[in-house]
This record gives sequence, structure tokens and C-alpha cells, in this order.
Amino acid sequence: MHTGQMLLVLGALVIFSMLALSMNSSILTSTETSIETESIRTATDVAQSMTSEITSKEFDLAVTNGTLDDIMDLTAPYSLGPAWNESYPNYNDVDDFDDFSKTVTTPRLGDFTINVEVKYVPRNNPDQVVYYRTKMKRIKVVVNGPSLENPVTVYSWKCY
Amino acid sequence: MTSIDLVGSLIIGGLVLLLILSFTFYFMNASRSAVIAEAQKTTAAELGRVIEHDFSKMGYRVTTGQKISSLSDNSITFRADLNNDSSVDSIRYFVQGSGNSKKLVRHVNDGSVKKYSLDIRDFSVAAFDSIGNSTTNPQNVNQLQVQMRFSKEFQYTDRVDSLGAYWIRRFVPKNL
Repeated sequence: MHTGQMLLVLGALVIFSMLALSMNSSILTSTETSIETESIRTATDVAQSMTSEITSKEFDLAVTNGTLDDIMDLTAPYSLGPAWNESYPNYNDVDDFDDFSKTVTTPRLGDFTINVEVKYVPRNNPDQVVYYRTKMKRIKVVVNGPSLENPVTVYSWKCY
Repeated sequence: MTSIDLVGSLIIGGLVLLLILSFTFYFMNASRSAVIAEAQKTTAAELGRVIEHDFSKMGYRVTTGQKISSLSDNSITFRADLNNDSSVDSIRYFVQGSGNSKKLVRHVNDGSVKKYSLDIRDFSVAAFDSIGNSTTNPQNVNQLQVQMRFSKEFQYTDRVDSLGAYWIRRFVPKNL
């Protein structure tokens, strides 16, 4: 085999190797994307389940046994969270879930961690957290898990 | 051309051919597994939609008798006016079979019996009372959590992949 032919064969092999590498990388990317998509979908399901559980509770401890006469009867903004005698899952109002976290084990993708924040928001600007009593609370559920590049966040609101 | 040239080109040609063949098989498998995975995810989403429709109507227009007739880890029977015709229908979800050949059956009796089943790996129903404690008494149920897992084994030459989907939802039916 002449040097020219050898060089041609070597060049062909180099080109073929580059093609093989780029194909492998594309297969890997598509597998990663598929797993991430499943992870996002599962995290969203987990967040929705948590949201359903929280919004099924009463707006505030003050309204669990009747109606609200004075807005100042509502839980103070800096006292949101479970009372000393309350423990999960026996919470009775949505703000008991403030600063709540738990881990959900899924059969395909492992553990997902849920972090919940419940805060007062004004009705005319429900995205802005305020530190005074209002008749609307925002529930923020953040789910983190394996293969998730960014955590999934789901918001919902409970009004009185 | 000498014989060493011939042998050399045969070896290199054979290697290239083998590489092309292995690539073709790999891509065929990757494409098949992607289609199977997508089918599993679509099944989970569509069945989830049916379950959401049925479970959110649980107890709707049921004025006499029990709203949930029976309840276990992987089956539930409840009543509701599913099709808004003022007559109460009976709906039952249960698992048939065992191991890797389980089927989830949805059985609806709304005058005529409608029944269909789908391959599933796991189906579970958990019930909770109004304060969030787990319960098995149908009369105390206030919330339900449904979980489904779909899974299909896919055999590669060097490994087995489990393709599928997982679905979880918590329901607080208004009419319970």
C-alpha cells in the first residue's frame, strides 16, 4: 500500500470516528432529554397532589369553627405555620403548611423533595408577598428531584 | 496491487461494514424504545384524564346509599351521575392479573355495561379522612390519592431498559 493510499484510509477512518462520536453524543442527549421530561412530568404531578391536599384545608385557623368577624383574628403574618399541638397530616388550615417539607418516593425516578411556602398576598397583586393580614394566601410548592435541571414550582391561591 | 493491499482493504472494509451495521441496529433500537416510551407516557396521561373526570364526580347526585361502595389498596367502587342524565351510575376500578401481566379495568354501569382494560404495572388507591389520616372505611373518605405506574421492559443487546411512566394525583371530590 502506498503512502497516499494509507493517508486516504486514515483520513476516512478519522472522518468516520468523528461521525460516530457525534452520533453517540446525540443519542446521549436524546436519552437525557427523555429522562428530564419524565422527571418534570412526575415533579408536576407531585406538586399538584400536594397543592390539592393543601387547598382542601380551611383558609385560616380563625375560620375553622365559624365565620370571620375581624380580619385581625386571622393568624399573624409572622406566625404562619403549624401550632404547637398540630402535626402533619393533621393540619386544619392552609398556613399550617408554611415552611413545610417532605419527601415523596416515586417508583421510577426515586425521591422528590417538596418545599412549601404559604404567605399573605393582596387580592389586587397576588404575586406579591406582604406581611400584613389579607383575605388571600398564596401557596408556593417547589419540587426538586433527580434529573431536574431546575426545580418545578407550582403556585395556587386560597381566598376567604 | 499486492496481496497485502487486498487483505488490508478487506480488513478495513469489514471493520467499516461492522461499524455501519452496529450503528443501524443501535438506531433502530433507540427509535423503537423512544416510540414505546412515548406510548407509555401518552397512555398514562390519557388514562389520568379519564380518572380525573370520574373521581372528581364521585358522589355527584347520589342522594341515597353509599357514595363509595368498596375500597381497597388497588380497587375502588363508587357511585356518581357520570353522564348528567339524573341516574346514578356505578364505577369500578380494579386490577386483574398479577406480576408483569396486570391490567387496570374500568367498569362502568350506566344502564349498559362499559368495560375496558389497559396494561399496567401498579395501580393504588389511598384514602384519607377530613383531617388527613389514612382510612379504609368508605364512609369516612374525604380525599383520595391515586398512583399508577406503567412499565415495559425493552431488551437491548447488552442491557434491559424499563420504559414507562408514573402518574400521581390527589382528589378532594366535592360531593363526598
